Amino acid sequence: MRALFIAALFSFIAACGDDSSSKDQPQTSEGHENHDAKGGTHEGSELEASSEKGDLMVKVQFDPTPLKAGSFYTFHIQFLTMEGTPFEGDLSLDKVNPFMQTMNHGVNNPDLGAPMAHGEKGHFMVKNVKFSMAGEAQSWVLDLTITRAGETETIRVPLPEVSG
Amino acid sequence: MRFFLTIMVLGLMSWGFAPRLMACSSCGSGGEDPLILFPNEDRKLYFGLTREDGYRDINYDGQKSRTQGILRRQSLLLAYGHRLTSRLVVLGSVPYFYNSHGDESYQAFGDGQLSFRYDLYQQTFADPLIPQVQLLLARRHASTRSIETSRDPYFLDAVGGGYHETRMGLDLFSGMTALVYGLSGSVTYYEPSIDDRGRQEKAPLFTWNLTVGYSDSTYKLITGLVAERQGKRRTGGEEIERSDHLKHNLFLTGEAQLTPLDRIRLSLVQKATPRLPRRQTAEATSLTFAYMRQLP
Repeated sequence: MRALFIAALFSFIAACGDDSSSKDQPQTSEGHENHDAKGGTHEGSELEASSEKGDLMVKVQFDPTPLKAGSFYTFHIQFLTMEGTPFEGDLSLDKVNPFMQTMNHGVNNPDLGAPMAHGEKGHFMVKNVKFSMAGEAQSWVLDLTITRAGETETIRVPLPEVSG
Repeated sequence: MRFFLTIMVLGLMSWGFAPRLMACSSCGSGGEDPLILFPNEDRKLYFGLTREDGYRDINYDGQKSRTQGILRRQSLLLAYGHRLTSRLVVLGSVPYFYNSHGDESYQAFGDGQLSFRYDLYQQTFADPLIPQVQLLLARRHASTRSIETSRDPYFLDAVGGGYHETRMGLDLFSGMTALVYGLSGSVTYYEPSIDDRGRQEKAPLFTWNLTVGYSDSTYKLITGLVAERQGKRRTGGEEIERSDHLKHNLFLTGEAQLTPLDRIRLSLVQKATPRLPRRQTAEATSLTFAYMRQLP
């Protein structure tokens, strides 16, 4: 019985070893245009989304590419009219929050920078954005909390794949 | 590795001093509750030390990636079982976790659980092939941080499930012959929680447990498969695509009785076993050394 137990224990340990057919592999961004259910699009590192009212568009770029869990990224966020011209109205970007929809959690990142106005009107930059785990395209989103005309709203930008 | 070797050697050394084990007729099938009371036992204590590591995140397509969260979780589980009647047993347990990621660590108590097992049918020597049938009911109160409410960059403070849980199910086990087998099925319901994004809902979790093994009067060796399937979560009334999860855990457990009152158990579990269907989950390997003491 003891020999049986020891043999079975070691067999089990061996069987639980790494699956050689699925070693950790960086998952690369596909790079082609994807569409999400709410009309957000992304091509390469440029992403697009619109406000719920459909009167404001946002273009988002990140650097470097592609996205990888645990690394730091700078995001450039440009608010535009639906015609594609820079948004000239009074608008502030209050908060940028990466959020993983499928797991229902965000990122606790003490290094995350505050959004800063950058260059032309309606253009913002946020540094040190980080993702805490890998996720396929659109499992991670970037929630942009903005205030315009005294009203606060959130625009959700679906993100491409974050590799491990 | 030293930890694994230490408890394996400890377990195997203890084996040599084990006297004969009493016949087992209420062994459960593992996985649901750590502590099982035999028909002749009224009170029992359980101390379980677990080390879990080898974490890999598994995405919806089953691909794995390096985790950015907890890299090692060590835990101590304290449990107490008390027989209320000849058919009804109540079990209480509370875990204490030590989570680490490199040099960073966090330790805290996790969510406590209270569970009941009621014998619908008690196995008899007259019909040793007819399994015992138990009804399970368990309640876990979410009182600690979960991955959803974590404030730590590595989720080290996530020591709980995040939702109040109620689990119910059936457990069949046959333990009166040398070949033991068991089958259990349960469903866990999660109470919705409310946060600044609205109502957060988790779909019920369905768990199946298939166990086979060998038992003589001193030792028991069982192995089996635990399958978990859960539907999509909802947030603010909207279903989140690709948020459903599936995993299969393989386990191997050896148990021996040291004295008429003392028992030890060594258990190895491969969570989200490679080559078996899995999605939106985490792979990990855990090893548990448990000591159980029957109280007079």
